[in-house]
This record gives sequence, C-alpha cells and structure tokens, in this order.
Amino acid sequence: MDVLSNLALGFGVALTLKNLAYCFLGVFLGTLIGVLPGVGPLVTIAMLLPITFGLDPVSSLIMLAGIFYGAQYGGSTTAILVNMPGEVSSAVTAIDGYQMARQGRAGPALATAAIASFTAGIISTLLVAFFGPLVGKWALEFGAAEYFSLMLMGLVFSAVLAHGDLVKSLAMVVTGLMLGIVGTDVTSGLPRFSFGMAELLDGVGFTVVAVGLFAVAEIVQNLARTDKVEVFTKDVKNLMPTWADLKAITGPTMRGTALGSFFGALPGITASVAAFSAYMLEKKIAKDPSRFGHGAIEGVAAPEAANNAAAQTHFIPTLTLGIPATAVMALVLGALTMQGIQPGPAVMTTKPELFWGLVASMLVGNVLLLLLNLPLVGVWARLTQVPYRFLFPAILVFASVGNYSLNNSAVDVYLCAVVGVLGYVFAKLDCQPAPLILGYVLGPMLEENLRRALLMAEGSFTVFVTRPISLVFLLASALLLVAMVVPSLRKGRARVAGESEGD
Amino acid sequence: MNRWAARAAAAAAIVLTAGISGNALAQAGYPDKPVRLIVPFPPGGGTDILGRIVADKLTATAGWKVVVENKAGAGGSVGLDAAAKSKPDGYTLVVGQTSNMSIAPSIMSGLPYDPVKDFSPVRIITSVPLAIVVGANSPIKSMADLVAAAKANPGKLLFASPGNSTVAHLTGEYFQKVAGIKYTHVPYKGTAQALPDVISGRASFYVASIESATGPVKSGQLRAIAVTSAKRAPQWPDVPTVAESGYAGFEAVTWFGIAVPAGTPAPIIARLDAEVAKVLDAPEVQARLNGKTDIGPAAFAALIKADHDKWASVVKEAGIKVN
Repeated sequence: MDVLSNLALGFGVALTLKNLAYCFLGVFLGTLIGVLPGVGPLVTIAMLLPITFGLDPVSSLIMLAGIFYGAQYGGSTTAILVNMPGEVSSAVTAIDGYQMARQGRAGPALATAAIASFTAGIISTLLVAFFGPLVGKWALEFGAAEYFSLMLMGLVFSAVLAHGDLVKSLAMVVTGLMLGIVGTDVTSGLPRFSFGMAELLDGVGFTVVAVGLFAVAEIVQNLARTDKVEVFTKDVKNLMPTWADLKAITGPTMRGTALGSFFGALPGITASVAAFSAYMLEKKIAKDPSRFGHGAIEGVAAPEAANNAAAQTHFIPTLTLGIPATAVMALVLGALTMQGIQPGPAVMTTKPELFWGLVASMLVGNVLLLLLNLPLVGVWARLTQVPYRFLFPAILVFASVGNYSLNNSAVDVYLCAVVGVLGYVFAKLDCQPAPLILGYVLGPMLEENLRRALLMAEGSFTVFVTRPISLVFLLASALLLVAMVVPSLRKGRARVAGESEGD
Repeated sequence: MNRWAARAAAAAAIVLTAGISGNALAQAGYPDKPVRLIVPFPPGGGTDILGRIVADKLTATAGWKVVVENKAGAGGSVGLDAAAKSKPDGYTLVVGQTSNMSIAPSIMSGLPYDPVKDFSPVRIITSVPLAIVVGANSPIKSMADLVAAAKANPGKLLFASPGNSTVAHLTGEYFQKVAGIKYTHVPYKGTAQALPDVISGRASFYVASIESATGPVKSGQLRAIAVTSAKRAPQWPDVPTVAESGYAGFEAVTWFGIAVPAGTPAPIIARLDAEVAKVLDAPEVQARLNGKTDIGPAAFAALIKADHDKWASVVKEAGIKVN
C-alpha cells in the first residue's frame, strides 16, 4: 500500500522528539486560546509567524496546524460551560452543551465534545491521507452555482430547525438574513444598512452576534429571575459519559464527521456551516426533535465532530491546490511560501515528508488533545459551581475583552451589548436564536453566490440545473421538501378522518 | 512602573524649570515611550506582515518599543481615521496604502478623513505590482490574446477581481479603458474564493496582487500573462509588463507606506524617516520586500496626489458607483 508506506514515512517525521514537542506546544496553545473568546487561532498564528521562520518548515507547519485544530477543542469548553462560544465554530455546540451544563451534566458534555472531536479528527485525517489530492481536484468543480444550490439545500434543511412556532422561526431566520446583509455588498460594492458608520461597512461580526445572543442574553435572563437565584448545580456527579451516552453519540459523531469532512474540503465554506448542518441533520433524524435545545447530547457530539473534521480537511485545498479555505489557512500558506515551499498539486511528490509528516502529526495531535482535554474535564466542570455573582461579571468582562480585541474597536463591544438586549427580547418572546444564526451565516453566502452565478451566466437561471453538481443539490432539496410536506399532509388527513396515529 | 514614573517626573521637572515647549521636549528625547503602529487590517494579511516587519526591526535596530495595533474595517479607513484623529506627537504611526490613501476619496463619499490634509507621509515601505493571470488551460497566452478575445466577444470575457473598488478591480477597469475593450467584472470576496473559478476556467482572467497568485502560478495551475508595474517584477523575471505588451506608460501598483497625523513636528518626521529608511535597507528586510524603493516624505506626498488623480479618472470613466 502506497499510502501506508507514506504514512510510515510521515510518522517517522512526526514522532521525532522535536516534532512531537512542537505538536504538543501547538495543540496546548490551541486549547488555551480556544478557551479564551476573542483570542482566536488567527491572531495567535499571526503573532507566532515570525518565530516560525527560524524553525524548519515541517516543525513550523506541525505547530501552526496544532494551534488551529487545538482551538476547535478548546472553543467548545466555554460554549458548554458559560454559553460563550470561544470560537466561531462552537456557537452551535453552545445550544445544547450549555443546557447540559445547567442540568449538572457539564462533565459528560465536555467529554462528549472531546471524544467527538477526537474521532472526527482521526477519521478526517485519514481521509486527507487517502483521498486528499482527489478531493482537492473535485473541490475545484465548485463554482457560484454549486455553492448557491448547496446553501439553498442548507436553508431547506433548516426548515427542520423550526420546532415550536413556525412563524417565529421564520421571523428569526429573516432577522438573521437582515443582520447578515449589513455591510458592503460584494457584488455592487455599495454599503447596506451601515447607517454611515465606517465600523459597520464590514458587517456585524460573528463573534459579536454569537456572544451577544448566547452569553449576554443568557446572563440578563438569569438576572431577571427574581424567584430563585439559580446555581448551575450543587454537585457535579458524573464526569464521564455513561455507556448509554456513548451509544447515543456514536451515530451523530460519524454523521458529523462526514458532513464536516465534506464542507471542510470546499474552499469558501467555514467550519460553522459544517457544524450547523450536522446539528440540523441530527435534529431532523432524531426520534424526538424537541429534546434539541434542551440538552440533547447528540446536539453536542455532531457539531463538535463536524467542526473538527472540517478543521482537518481544510488542509486539502490549502496544501493540494494552494487555495486557503479560511484566513487561518491563508496564514499557514503564507508561512510555507516564506519557507520557500510552494503548496499545490506537486507538493506531495516534491515534499512528501512535509505532507505526510503533517498528516501523521495530526493523528498524533488529536491523541494528545484527547489526553490533554479529558483530565481537564473535572477542572472545568467545577467552574459551574462558582456562584453567579462571581461568574456573571467574569463572563461579561471576558466577552467584552474578546469582542474588543477582534478589531481593537469599542464599537464591537457596544454592538454586542445591543445584540444582547435583542437576545433577551427574543428569549422573552420565546424565539429561538438558532434559526437567526443560520440565516445570518447562510444568507449572505446564498445571495452572493446567486448573484455571481447569474452575473457569470449573463442572467440565465438555467445555470443551476445544467451544472450537474448544482442539479443534484437542487433535487435533494426538492426531495427533502416533499418528504417533509407529505407526512404532515397525511397526518392532517388522518386527523380529519379521526384516526389516531402515533408518529 | 517606577522607572516610568521617575522619567515622567523628570520630564515634568524639565518642562517646569526650563519652560521649554512640549514639542521641543518630545523631539529631544523622542521616543521616550512606546510608539503605536496602527495596521488598518486584521492580523495575517499583507499589510499586517509589512507592518510587523517594520515594527520588529525598529524595535531591534533603533531600540524603540513599537507596538502593532490592528484596527481593521472598511478597507482600512477605520484605522486611518483613528490615526488621523490621534495626537500628532510622533507616537502614532499608521500603514497606509494606495486603496485607502489614494482611491478611497473617489469611491467613499463619507470618508471621515482627508488623506492629503490629515496625514504627513513618512516613507514608502514597498510597491507591489499586480499580476494578470489566467487558468493553465486557457487559450489566452498573452495580453495580445486577451485583447483579441475581448474584441471578438465584447462583454463576454469574465474579469475576476478580489473585490469591488480594490486596486485590482480598478486596474482591470483602467486597462479596459486604455485598450479600448469591454469585459464583465466579477467581484469576489478575496483571493480564496476567486482562485477556484480562475483555475478551472469559469472566469476568463484574474487581476490580483502578485503574492496572492504566486503559489498557483508556480505550481502550474495558473499562467501569468503580465505584471502591471513599470518594470518586470524581480520574482517573475520572465513575465512581461503590460507596458511591454504594447501599452506604453501603463502602470498600476499597490504601495504601502508609513504616515503620521498631520501636525507632527518636522524633526520627528525626519527622525522617523531616517530610522525607517535604515530598517528598509537591512538585507534581511530587502529579501522579503519587492525590490528597493527610496520614497521619502516629499515624494510620498506627491505619489498620493498623483495616484489620487489617476484613479479618480478611472472611477469616473468606468462609472463605478460612489457610496
């Protein structure tokens, strides 16, 4: 087996004492900055970049990669414990993870996040090893029409998110779309809803929205309760997931890994989209979708698996095509270029020790992350016993510092406060934040790709059905719609006929 | 902390006893506290990397404490505005560039600063040419092919750019005007989105900074048909310039330079200029920049104005909407 001998070569590189140390340093730093909101892998890698010029290329790549995927592990910690997504991609984890923590199950939630991330990390790294170049070529087939149809499928899926009041969910999606529209329009270059504020020309940042909507709103909501001062839980009993938990997360982890690996390989799709899709899928196929949003363990496993899988497969377009999928990948690419290495289709043959060393180090790094994170679960879980009068101010301070440090801009802190107030109002109105986030993430991408596809096709809508990949996505969306509508129609008829039917 | 306090006290004492102006004092001991270098883009981008090279080297060679502050937003105008409104005491520097110092006034009606009146230019760090590239399988092999293809099918060629009103976009519009041809502009949100479309041939050609195209060109996925600088780019000696390709005088580059708020005392500007020039002369810095430039305060100011006029006419003739 060619790949196996290559992997052996890779392990030979990754398991040297020096590279092992850099791998550990990377994942350790990554975990740390993942926990702190605002201090993301982007800033960290940018600051460490000058240092890496002194290292040899393989060691520096191993360390930078470790920071990147390590941050995906750490980001879930604050999302679960205090409802504050440390990283953009863990916003979805906050939905059910935080509820689990409130029910005294912070330990299992954290462990689930670590186990799901680990499983996804290993599987997707093997995917990179076996299919990297192939997938890279395939990703090139994705143009504006394909992205549009893919996003549309995502939005159709999200109709599934609409549990409870359909009208309210739709209203939240639309609110999210509107929030996403704020800023400079890519196609025309004109500002929309920026109210003459230069700070709004780039739109409302994701961290601002996620932290405001989840963390700030949650705190205000808790403070508004006069009946009893709720402490998370008196005692944190089970730190580790039970057998039943492990069984429950197996499927979601696998499906999340599959979705995350797919989305990660596409340049131009962020890990948060992968996490969202995985969450929606689990909710769709769950026997009892109403558990989601109230501490469903599947709702932690699936998005965590998805975002870590995407973090690994992001390296496919970066290394095999030289196309950075995200800003972080652009930095990694820059680091390689400055070392005189040209990422591209030839990198696997010209620099096999680099490619395979990285692949092997990602396997090693994921094991290190699991070893690092599982023992920490107990430490973190104890955080939930900190009284609110200490915890709340601390969370708000961290949230503000994080938002400020993104752009060194006070405007982001104010905006976050405004979104927090909005979030409180939404909570009072019993409106879920998840559909809003979805509209906010998908809306702008949907619009941009629709308009670009039409611009490139001289206004012809046929481009969406004549391109095969796009057609497949559209057909899948249509099928989904039919599958959703038909049972409810049948149910309606059944009710009219007076039959009782268990669904 | 104690040392700082002592220094401040000493400084205050000097002011009180000698009665000299604050300005003179600042110049004599400049810099006696950390200098802030505003980078108006997020960490990791080209501007940030240049800013950090200069900051690190000023710290290492001149012994100054230079702190990089990323203040991103609105194509750099948020950071430039912050710099324009800072105290002109030499402790706030900013990295400006073609887009936010020469183009912005033509495309943003509500620009909160005036690049000419609100800043004193110090020194250009580097000038980067743009590259005109096509997918490796494209039939277009030269600028002549490009023009011929555009003439055969007016408006059908798809010109990809990393964004509306970027230097790359305006360069494409500029060439359209110079060559008397017509193609359709397709803006993207940065290079990562545009590259798959260009490599696969869905977009006919792409104009972007030479750095962002270097990887795929070297790996054979893209073909460079021209660079936009007056002279060939040192990193691509085999690629002709647009001027060589039959459009003499065509030049479009992105320059990056250090500026300070207007009103900064002249001796401080001179000192800054001298130190930055020293930094840029260092061989290890040269190795990472795009060849040598020697553009000090006066020439930099003239460049801002000249480029402003050039791009203003392109914006006007291309009918680009002003926001």
